[in-house]
Amino acid sequence: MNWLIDPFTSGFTQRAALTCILMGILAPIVGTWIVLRRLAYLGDAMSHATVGGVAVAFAIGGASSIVVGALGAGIVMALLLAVLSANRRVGQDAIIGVIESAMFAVGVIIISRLETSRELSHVLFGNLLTVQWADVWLNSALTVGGVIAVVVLFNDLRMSTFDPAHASQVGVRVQLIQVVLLVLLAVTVVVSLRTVGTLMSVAMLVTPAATARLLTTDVRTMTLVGVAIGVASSLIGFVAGYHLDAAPGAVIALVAAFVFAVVYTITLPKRMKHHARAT
Amino acid sequence: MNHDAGPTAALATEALGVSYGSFTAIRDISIAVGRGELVGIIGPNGAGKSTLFKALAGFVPHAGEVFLDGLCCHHRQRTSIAFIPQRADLDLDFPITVGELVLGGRRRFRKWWERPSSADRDAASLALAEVDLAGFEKRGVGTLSGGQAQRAFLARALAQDADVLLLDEALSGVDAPTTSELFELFDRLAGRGVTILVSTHDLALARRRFHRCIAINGSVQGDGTPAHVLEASILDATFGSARATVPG
Repeated sequence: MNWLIDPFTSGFTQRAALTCILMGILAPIVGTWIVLRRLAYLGDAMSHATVGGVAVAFAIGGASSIVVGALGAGIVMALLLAVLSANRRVGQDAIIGVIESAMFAVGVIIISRLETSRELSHVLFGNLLTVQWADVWLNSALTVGGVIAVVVLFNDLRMSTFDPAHASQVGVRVQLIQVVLLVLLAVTVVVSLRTVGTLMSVAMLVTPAATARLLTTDVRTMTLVGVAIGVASSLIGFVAGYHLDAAPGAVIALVAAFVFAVVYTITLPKRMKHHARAT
Repeated sequence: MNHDAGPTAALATEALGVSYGSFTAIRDISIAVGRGELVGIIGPNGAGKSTLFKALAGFVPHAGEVFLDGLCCHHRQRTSIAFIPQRADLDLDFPITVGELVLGGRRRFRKWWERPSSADRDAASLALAEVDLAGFEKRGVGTLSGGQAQRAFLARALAQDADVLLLDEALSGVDAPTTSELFELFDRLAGRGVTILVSTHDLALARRRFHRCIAINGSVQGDGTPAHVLEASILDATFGSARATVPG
């Protein structure tokens, strides 16, 4: 059993494991709503847009400002999207594409002009070895905040996702809920910074929740199953990455994708039967 | 134009109009519908039936005014109107149970941070019983038949305490026995004073089952009893010369 315990024996691996667990909890909770709203593309866009904020913050305030930059970029994107989406002539997907590419481009230009971009590459692709206790506490606070927000807004999130017109008629502030969800998306990207990195944060946001969607028929269970898959994928990927001497973030993303593939295959006959009955 | 519903009509409009850019979907629609009336809205595809409902519900910006119980609701939320969309407009694979759907109608009675109370749950159960779906609380909405789904949405409207129901193409793809069951339910609700507007393409059904019909094609082409509205000149004005004949 040493192979299972070894990765958790030193202080820095314990911090890394805790960070993985936090990401495994928050990403599927937020990801559930991203999957149900069919906004996986938005998750991907947010992860790219964050690069702009991270680079700007790094250039101004150094490595300690990175989290603020990521969060700021997420909030800027959320607000821009809320304002620009009011134009019905251009679809929301196009607006997302414009904002994402502009913010990512800002990040690329700044990174190309920096003398050192090592810290930034950790942010882009994750590096569990650099996790400090301050990161663990920050991620804990962000995860707790994110979970509370989703629990409190759960009914309004469900109503505005299923039937936004009715939701707004009975008093749900649909537009505000959308902005809150985008901010939660940014928070999730921040929590994923040290583990899978910004560029692969969409993997943990979407994959466990999509897997849970295949297995469940109500949102509460979907969220809980997503969290179970997220935490398990994170820990399995962390241990596997340790032994394979591979980037743990990438291994975590691959484990989550593997679980999805297995569940998709196992549930395929049931879904085909359901589809045949429906048609 | 029929304004017999009087000054205290449950629902009335004055010069209602909706444009999308340079395209005018509906214009100058002035109608008054009394409490407990069951009204069929007929018209060809693209006539503006769905747009009319969305304007009445306050989902799209519009010119003109909408009155509920004689009160102008220009800047008020129209919580006493319930809009039941076409099935195609909703993702019926969404993981939501009938109980959760109907409880959604109670949201207007609580703040965003409050959980549904036991009174809300009782109201939802009562609404489900009223549409003969008692015991369906745990069923997924996606597992319901077309008629059951319509009744579940009606239950949500009842839980919302809506005085006016707008059903967009509620009878499309629904078989004859289910249609008959739905009309029994409509009649029951209308008898209780609920005002119901249903858009439909089924002119034979409109002749048989509605108290009143309003024919629209951009604007109102005819308004009155089914026998009056479904006569040749109004149908020609509404549907053009390609209209089908209406079985008696």
